[in-house]
Amino acid sequence: MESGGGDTVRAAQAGDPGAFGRLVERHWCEMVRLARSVVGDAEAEDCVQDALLSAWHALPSLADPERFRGWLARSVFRRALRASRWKRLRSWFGLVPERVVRHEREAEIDLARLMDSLPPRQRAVLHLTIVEEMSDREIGEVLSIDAGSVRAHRRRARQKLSSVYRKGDP
Amino acid sequence: MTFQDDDDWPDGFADALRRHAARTPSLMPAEAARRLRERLEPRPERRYRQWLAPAAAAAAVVLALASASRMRHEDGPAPRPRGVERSTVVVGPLPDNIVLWWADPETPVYFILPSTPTGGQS
Repeated sequence: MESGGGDTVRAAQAGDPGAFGRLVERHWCEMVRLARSVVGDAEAEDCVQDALLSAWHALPSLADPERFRGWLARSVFRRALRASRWKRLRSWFGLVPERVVRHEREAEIDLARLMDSLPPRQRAVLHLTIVEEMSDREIGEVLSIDAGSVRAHRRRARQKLSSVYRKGDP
Repeated sequence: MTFQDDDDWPDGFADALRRHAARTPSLMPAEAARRLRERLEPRPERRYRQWLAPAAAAAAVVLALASASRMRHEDGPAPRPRGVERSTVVVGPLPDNIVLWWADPETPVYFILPSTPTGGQS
């Protein structure tokens, strides 16, 4: 996964906080979108903040600055996945309401419910395929799985969507 | 939205998902970057707080000990050490020991034990 901005990454690796700030500005929205697709709105931005803080400290270990975007996305995904598991655990014990973010439009509520019915990895695969238009190989890098597993997740997501739509209850 | 059971996504699903994902984050990129830079660069007042908290805790411990020590004398003045006069001023070499004694529970008074029988004068 190419990210461009290799010089900015190299400057950040050398310890320039200003360069790292530019990287944050460049990738913030995309990373928040990815985290939202996995954990939902309420915790997404915290996950990205944590991943970015961690990235700052681990940046010198990044061998290829051109792969910064995929490297960061992988960290964001892992944190969002962990947060999603905790969220599910808390909801089982009734510690958090089922949905804490209000959407204004009915269609958005339907889509949010539909996405919530899928497991986190399938949601991430749908998001990275449709919204970010990544290849299976790129998605595999972010999710730390191979391209075949990406296709399997997408196929299962389609089947689930199919069953939900047949019931007419998205 | 209607779902066609083939390799494509349901009609309108992809567009709806893109719209859903395009919602503005509560924190805009520039603000996110500013906050992150702030967390990466400790400000002087943060360094100041690093030693202020332990100092405040130490002061609290000293006050608590002093308060506990005073409480021991709540029942009345402690006995004056034998051979020591109040307001003794020592001239010459410092005596071997200095005694802190509360003649009055509210007013701590320092007494200095003379090192020699004639070592002090009032």
